[in-house]
Amino acid sequence: MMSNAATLEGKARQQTAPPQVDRRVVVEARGLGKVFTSSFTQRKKWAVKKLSLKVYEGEVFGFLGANGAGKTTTIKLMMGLLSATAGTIELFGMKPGHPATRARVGFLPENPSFYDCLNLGEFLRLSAALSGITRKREVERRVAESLFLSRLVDEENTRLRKFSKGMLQRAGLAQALINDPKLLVLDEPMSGLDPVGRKEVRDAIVRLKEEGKTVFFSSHIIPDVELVCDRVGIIKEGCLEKVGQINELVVEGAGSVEIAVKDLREEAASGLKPFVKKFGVAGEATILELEDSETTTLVLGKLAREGARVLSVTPHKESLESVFVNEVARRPGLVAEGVKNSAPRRRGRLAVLSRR
Amino acid sequence: MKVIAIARNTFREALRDKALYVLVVFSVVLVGATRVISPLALGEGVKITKDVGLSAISFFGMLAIIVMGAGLVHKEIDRKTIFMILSKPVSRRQFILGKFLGMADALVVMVVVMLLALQLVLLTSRVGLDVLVLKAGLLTFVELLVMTSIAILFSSFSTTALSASLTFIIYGVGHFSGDLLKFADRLPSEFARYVCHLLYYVLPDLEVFNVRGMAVHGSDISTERLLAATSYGVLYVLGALMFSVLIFSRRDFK
Repeated sequence: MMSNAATLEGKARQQTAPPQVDRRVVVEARGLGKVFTSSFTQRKKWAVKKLSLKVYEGEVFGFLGANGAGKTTTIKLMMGLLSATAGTIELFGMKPGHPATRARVGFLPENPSFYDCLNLGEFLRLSAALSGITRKREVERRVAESLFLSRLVDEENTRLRKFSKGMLQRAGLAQALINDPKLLVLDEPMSGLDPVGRKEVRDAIVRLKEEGKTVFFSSHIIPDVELVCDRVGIIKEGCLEKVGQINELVVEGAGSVEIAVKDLREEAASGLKPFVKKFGVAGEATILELEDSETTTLVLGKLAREGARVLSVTPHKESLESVFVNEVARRPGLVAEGVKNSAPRRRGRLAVLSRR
Repeated sequence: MKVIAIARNTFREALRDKALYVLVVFSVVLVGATRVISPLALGEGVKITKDVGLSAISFFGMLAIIVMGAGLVHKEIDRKTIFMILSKPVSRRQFILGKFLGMADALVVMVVVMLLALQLVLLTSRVGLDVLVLKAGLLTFVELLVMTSIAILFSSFSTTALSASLTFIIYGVGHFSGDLLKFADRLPSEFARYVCHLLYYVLPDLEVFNVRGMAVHGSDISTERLLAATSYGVLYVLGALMFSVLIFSRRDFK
């Protein structure tokens, strides 16, 4: 039985241009489930339930969810650190537990902790050896490359115990990149980082995408997800609630449209009343707020016939944050109504038309 | 190669752990102290030095296993460093084997330093190089390897404290497991006899490796005895590691 999430994903793919159709599937989960049993009460709890998902080659996939939603469990299932109770997950068409699969993957765990008695150089050489890189020259080349990419060249001889959280995160990224992986799985790579650190991780993700790598990462920080991801999945209580491109997800939230016009005659304005939710004035301009984008063309046509000058057309789409908060808020009591309503609406990235 | 990388890292960690140095220094001081008190031993000073020196290798080696070896696997899970290792193309079998070899390397260093200290003290007593002491030292090392494999077995499914306790209990019981067979002969119940025999074969018989008395009193330790004890030790280590791999392969890392 195909899960709701899978159906959504299928719908999302149909709606969009063909990019994923021809692209290779890198990660594929089918009806994935994981049950944790309390050792004391023997109570069972599904941490991940009927999760079906596809991640395509070369895309950056953001995995969003509240705390305890099942993000890390899904990632651990993906890395073979947990065994699935139900369903399957494959990376490059192979089981994640197989070492040959992991040879093509780089992984940054959540809140990474490494051998603090080692210095960064020793740690990266260990990572290279564990990745099966044996030739000394190759090891040194990869270490130098990883140090450069993670901007830690000057810290090669510093013990990891002296690293700040941000530096540890970058060291984690460096070890994940040591084997030049095709797929990068990053669990909360931006958590606990300052704005500069977050930007550095974001830049690194964009750079990796440009190199043709597939990146799968989980995060709480929605603006970061919005900035770098091609597609997003929202997980709630272990179930994948929504999957799609950011534009599709925010359009689903059907925002209003604002048209600023000049020289709008009163008779023309009264003729537009059935289509306009609210009239306003901003300086010399009249602001027409439309309920949704469907009436925009009609209103623009009427305005043109009446000879009014259209100054701008601004679609007000729902932000990814409000989509996320609305999804999560469906769980009673999790998000207070005030929080739900406070989710910002943002000006659409799409064009703001203006006429002279 | 991956096994060697894990072993090298475990060895490096052990060398950077102050506990190892403390134990080695203590044992060396203890052996040196026997030289100081030997004039009071009525001509038995050399025997005391050999006895204390060989026992110190066993005891402090065991303490090193309790302090460092019992947490060998669990500490990796606790510190979450296991996520980094097992996300690389490393099998769980390679991980267990690497951890064992790393700890074995650390024990080699420890035993060699302590044996050297013992031989040095014997040289200053004008006894010269004692081959029997070396043979006893070798079997003590095999005994420590057996205990390391047991510590890893416990560490693969329990916490550091629990595996340290269980390892210590097995060390104690292991020195008396030979008595289980004698005890079984006196039991009336067939089932009880069966259980005693089963326990004897499951638990390590650590007395097999104990030739310290023979070395101290100058009795010859035959090559057959050395080979038999070493073979028993190697087989026991392989069995314990196999079980560790079986348990560890099924583990989930939350």
